[in-house]
Amino acid sequence: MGEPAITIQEHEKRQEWWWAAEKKRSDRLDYLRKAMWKKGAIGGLYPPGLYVDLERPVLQTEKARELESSPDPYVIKFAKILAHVLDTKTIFITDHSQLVGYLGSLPNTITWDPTLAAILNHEVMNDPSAIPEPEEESLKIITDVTDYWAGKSDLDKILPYMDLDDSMKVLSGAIGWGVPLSRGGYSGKDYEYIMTGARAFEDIIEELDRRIDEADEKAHEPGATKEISDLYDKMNMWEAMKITLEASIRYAKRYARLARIIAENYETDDKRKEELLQIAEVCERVPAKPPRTLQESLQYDLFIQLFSRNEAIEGAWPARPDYYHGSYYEKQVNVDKTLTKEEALDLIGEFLIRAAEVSQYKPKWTREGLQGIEGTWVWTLGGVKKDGSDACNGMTIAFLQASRLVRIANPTFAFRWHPRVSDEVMREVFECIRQGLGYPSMRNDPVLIANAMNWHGHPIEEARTWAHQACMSPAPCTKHGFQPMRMANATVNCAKIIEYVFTSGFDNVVNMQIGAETPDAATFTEYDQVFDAWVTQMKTVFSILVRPVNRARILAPKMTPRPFLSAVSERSVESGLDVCEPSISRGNAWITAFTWVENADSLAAIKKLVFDEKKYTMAEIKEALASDWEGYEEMRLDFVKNAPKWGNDDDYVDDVMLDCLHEAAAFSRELKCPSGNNWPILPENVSGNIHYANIVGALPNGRRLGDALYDGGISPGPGLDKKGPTAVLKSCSKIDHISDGRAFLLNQRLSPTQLAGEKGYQLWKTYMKTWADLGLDHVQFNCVSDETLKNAQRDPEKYQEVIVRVAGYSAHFVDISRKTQDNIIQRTVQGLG
Amino acid sequence: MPTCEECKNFFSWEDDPRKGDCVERAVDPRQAYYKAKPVNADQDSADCSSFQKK
Amino acid sequence: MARRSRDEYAKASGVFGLQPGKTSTVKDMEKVPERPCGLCKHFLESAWSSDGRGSCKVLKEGSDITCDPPVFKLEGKNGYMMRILTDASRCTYYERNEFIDKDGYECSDPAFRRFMRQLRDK
Repeated sequence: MGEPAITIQEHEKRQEWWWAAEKKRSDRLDYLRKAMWKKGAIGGLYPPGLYVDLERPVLQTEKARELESSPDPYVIKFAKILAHVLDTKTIFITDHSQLVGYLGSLPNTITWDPTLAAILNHEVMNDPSAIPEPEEESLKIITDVTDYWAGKSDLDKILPYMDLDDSMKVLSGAIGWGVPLSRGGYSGKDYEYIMTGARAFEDIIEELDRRIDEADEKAHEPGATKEISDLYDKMNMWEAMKITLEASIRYAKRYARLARIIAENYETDDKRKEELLQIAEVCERVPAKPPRTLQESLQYDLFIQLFSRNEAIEGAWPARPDYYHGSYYEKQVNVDKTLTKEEALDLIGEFLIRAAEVSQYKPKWTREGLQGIEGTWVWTLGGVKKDGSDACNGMTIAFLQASRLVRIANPTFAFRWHPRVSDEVMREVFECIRQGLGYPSMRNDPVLIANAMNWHGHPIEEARTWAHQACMSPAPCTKHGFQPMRMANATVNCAKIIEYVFTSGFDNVVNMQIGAETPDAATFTEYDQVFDAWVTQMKTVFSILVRPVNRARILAPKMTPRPFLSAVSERSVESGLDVCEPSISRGNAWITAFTWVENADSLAAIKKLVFDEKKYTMAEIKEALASDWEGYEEMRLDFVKNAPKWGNDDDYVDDVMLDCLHEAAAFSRELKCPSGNNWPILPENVSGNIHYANIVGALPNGRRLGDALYDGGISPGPGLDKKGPTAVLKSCSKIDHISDGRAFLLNQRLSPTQLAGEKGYQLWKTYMKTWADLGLDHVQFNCVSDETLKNAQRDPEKYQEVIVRVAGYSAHFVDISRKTQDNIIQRTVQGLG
Repeated sequence: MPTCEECKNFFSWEDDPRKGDCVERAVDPRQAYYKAKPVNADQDSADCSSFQKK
Repeated sequence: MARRSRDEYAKASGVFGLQPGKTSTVKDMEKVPERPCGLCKHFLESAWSSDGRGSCKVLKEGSDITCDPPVFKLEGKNGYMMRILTDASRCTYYERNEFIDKDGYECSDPAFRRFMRQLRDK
């Protein structure tokens, strides 16, 4: 007699949420969940079975060749290339699906855009595992495409106009991320324009036609002025926008046609035929016309995201899905009752899966720094409406429930908490955390709205519309507030700041003078000299990373335009200017500060052991660091164990942290983006702490080259927070979360056993009340036991759906490198209560 | 010479019968799906391994 | 360093993706010399990308091992920049790295990671 099947309740009692979810979800969701090809890299490689898609690069290149002798201006040629891809690429509809659309030609392909950077094309060429078979034939195509775009790609075009000194330092990979390209980062959206149901693509095309006609007439009236000259550029831009919108509508109709063909010629199941005809109706409707139903709304949203990705690499997915889809949910599920809750959950669960499977080939630093995911799809739930009232609705709850069924790591959610959130919603949020999803992260909405107004001057109604840009930073979804171009290279590997104090700015790992040539640290006789050198290095490194972003933003409208994103943005449709044009944007820049806490811990250690206790000299530390602590183990352990560490409510080191932040905040107001706005810092990490492990040298907190760095933001180093969760919160609360920076990431690890039942919920609520009262802006939780994680390391096949919070995002535990896994296991489990 | 429009998998466009979709069934290790690619009706399909005469 | 000479250094490094005058076509990126720089213990791979750029810990900026005779500069700050597949047959400082890390499923170490398709059999 076989063993009796384990019930859902038994799985839940054992906290085996992943197996419980598998049994709870509908057959459709179960199929679609398992049908998904996961696209996040493990370490630096894409998982087995995935291949670079060669169809798209061939289509782009053939069209570009055809247009070489065309008299069209660049932006129109570019729009035609985008249109050609949408018109001719392979499309597919997966069995049991209700939503359609994928960037690649097949489900297991990774899209490669060869028009962005020769460097990226060479990465594809060198890739050891993702080139499709037969390899020889594929290499011929890759070689031809790479050869064609050499010198023509976006980065090749703008680099000669950038400061090459800064560019070399950025491209060393030592001090930060990213590439200064408008099509190489990610974009927020003007959702207030495009997602409120007020208009869709045909409406915008009508407006574009009107503006072109008016401009054309004006341009040919008697007279000649600069304004008239500008009209020519605007007409070209509007024309390009129109081309992309028309191609997008045609693309959707291709799916409508395919769905009908399958229904009429291949499908034998009547119910599935009906579903296919429904898909056809949806795709005939959107994105041409505004959505009427939840399915149309979700499909419309998915299409916009795919078209945006047809145009650019989008390394994040700013969204506020419960807010913008909520009215359709309410109408269909609660008012008209034309959709059951279960049917809605099927649609929402599938929407999560469609978002999870999106894939674009990215450089090594992204693959390693965002292990296990494609990009940070941090979707914002909850919050308030523009008038300040609670924005939570049925869709908020439905997303939280659907996420527990499909257990996707990415999209991940971030919840905008405010004092009027209902208990019902808070319990749903808690369930997600308790069931080990690692999300939602919790955001303090009143604090972040005030922060947005403080740093960037967003008016309060606009600030209230905010959505996460990537892991952490808010930006409004409004005409002048949204952020069209976030180039991740204002992302600083801050541990280098303290490292460079001891090397006078020379980077031994990449063999280059990068930082400032500050005086020899061995000669310092006072702590103030160390701190002054730190401030100089901080300013130098921040400036090197921010300058290229500013420069590229200024160059972007002419050299690397975005006609599709412009077409769905009110300020561009109105003005005829590219969406990245700084003069029509308020600005929402920030510097992501990776590996930040190492600085405070290192400076505090120096202050105490060198200058207070006089146990060592600066020359001795410099020597020890230069030899990677080799031969200095006792000294190293002194710096690890006997120097105060951040996160223990210890004013000694907490004051050092505040000094660092205050200097950075002051400098943030000196740095200006091209729109004239500030550049506040935002400490957080993703998996940069592992990616940079072999790139950051030995540090005065006792770290050696190769050791994982701290998990980021203002989280204490793993195992270094010894005084419990309240002490961590108290340290963090000494920071002013409105004026000391843009936001501050805090990872906390909780015990699943402690969070069980009603008692667990009350404990968590109490913790959250303390968090809110102390004015912190962020906290996110890992809630999975060491035992489960170690079992997953031994037997990954059985634990495919265990999720962990890495830093600003979640990933499936089996999809990250071993070193990253070990680092998560090392994090302190906090006991609440 | 066989052409695409003679194939079972060819579905011409209503608004332009000179073009059509080539539709195929596919099954990979994770999912089953139908895929489509636009082709010209008079395209030479002599070397097409998926060609099936109507 | 004066700006202009820094620009020449940048261009020579291949920051544009191809080194003008050195590798004129992409086909050159397939050639694996007997002694490529990437397999030398002094080579540091780019931490930014896997496009094949890197630098030398021993030879400094101004060196050129691809010309005949080769130019060796040992003084200076910045490392000589070349590529993993640069031919080091003329380099007298070449020393084969004893450990070549081919585990692509962990984050790379500039000193040891050489998991590149062209070097699969090396």
